[in-house]
Amino acid sequence: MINETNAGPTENGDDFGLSAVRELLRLMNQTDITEILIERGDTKLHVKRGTTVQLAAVPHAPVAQTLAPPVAAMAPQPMPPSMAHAPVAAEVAVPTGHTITAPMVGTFYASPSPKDAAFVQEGDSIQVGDSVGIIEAMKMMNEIESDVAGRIVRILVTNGQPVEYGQPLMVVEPV
Amino acid sequence: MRDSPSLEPSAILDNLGTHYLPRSVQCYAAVSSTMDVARQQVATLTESELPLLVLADLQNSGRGRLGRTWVAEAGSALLFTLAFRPYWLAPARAFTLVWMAGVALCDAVAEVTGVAAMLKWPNDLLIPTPSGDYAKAGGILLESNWDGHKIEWVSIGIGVNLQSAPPAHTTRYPTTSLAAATGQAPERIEVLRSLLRHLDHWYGRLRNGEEAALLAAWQQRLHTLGRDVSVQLPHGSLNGYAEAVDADGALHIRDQDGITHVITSGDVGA
Repeated sequence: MINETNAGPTENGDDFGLSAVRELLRLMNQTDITEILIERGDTKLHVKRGTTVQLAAVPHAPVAQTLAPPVAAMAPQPMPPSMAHAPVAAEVAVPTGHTITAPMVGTFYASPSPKDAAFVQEGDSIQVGDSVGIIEAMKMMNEIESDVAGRIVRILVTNGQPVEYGQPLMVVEPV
Repeated sequence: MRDSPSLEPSAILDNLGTHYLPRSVQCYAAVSSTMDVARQQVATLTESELPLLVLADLQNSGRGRLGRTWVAEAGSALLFTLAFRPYWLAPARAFTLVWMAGVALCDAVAEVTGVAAMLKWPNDLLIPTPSGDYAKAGGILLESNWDGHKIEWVSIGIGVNLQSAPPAHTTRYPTTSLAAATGQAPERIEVLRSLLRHLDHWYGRLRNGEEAALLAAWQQRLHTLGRDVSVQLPHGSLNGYAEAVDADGALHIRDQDGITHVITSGDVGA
């Protein structure tokens, strides 16, 4: 978990969306996912982990882990600490834009309730103050507003996904 | 049906003795939801008019977590929302208000009724039943708004079953009322005023940086800890032993394989 007092939103001055990529790499390093390929429109994001993963240090004692759906419904396995340092090779193309980040740890919801439509979808135009999602911390529902006007070019999280402090949620192309 | 008289702002505030809250009180016979009213009002009120207390005898569209409905007959429950702008609170620690509301509710009910009230993680009010189990007698929902730079406002919605509880088949957890537990429902205004004092107490301590003391108080009241529980998660469910909460309030559940899961959102069942 990111130290909440030291890690702040990283979108300022990040014209190439590198903060979003950095966060993706960090999350990938915390799981056993080896490759991610996202293609939408003219942009492509392809991240692949190197194959020389050292597994010798698998712990025998249980370790804590944050549930990440849909893994929550399956039998989760302890995560070898060495995985956090596995080499990652990345070829990256992400949209330029303003990154909306999570102001707190919690669970991301794309809509006000399961029966409602999502606040926003990729391609939507938004204004300053428009709601783009909710982050629940325990039973506190924090509605996230956009602080820029523009078009949503990428949503980086899915409904029900745990998010960390400062994690990029979506990329907005300002107008 | 009206089981208790409508409340008046003057009666609520008279010699209340609080330092911080509330500064404005609005009482309604019926509203869609006190959360909705507070949300509309908090945006327009000045700093000197906040915190705002919105209270209703009846909610036509009362809601709980994830849009679930909250049903109570008119006057049979204490239903209110407290809204304020906690600019002093770091967004990453905003969930400490969840602890604050839970501890205050627990202590107010214990003070007024003498019942050993506890909390189901994170802040459902539990009271003992004649059978020796615990049942839910109240719930808390918090909503806030993040404008990209700060928490603009927070609303704490609280519902307490005084006279009656929803039918068992309509709820996810056994429910009860203070009347069922004690033989007589306490006066609504008595519970409210006690609760406002307890909220005010912890609000002041939290502002004063006493988060650790609040965390300790909250932990002491968690009935969930040390029990086998089932947790409904956004995608699936988890069964295990509730072994601890951490400094962020997350619930640590150890499953049958000995793996500990850290839960920040979910519905804890029996």
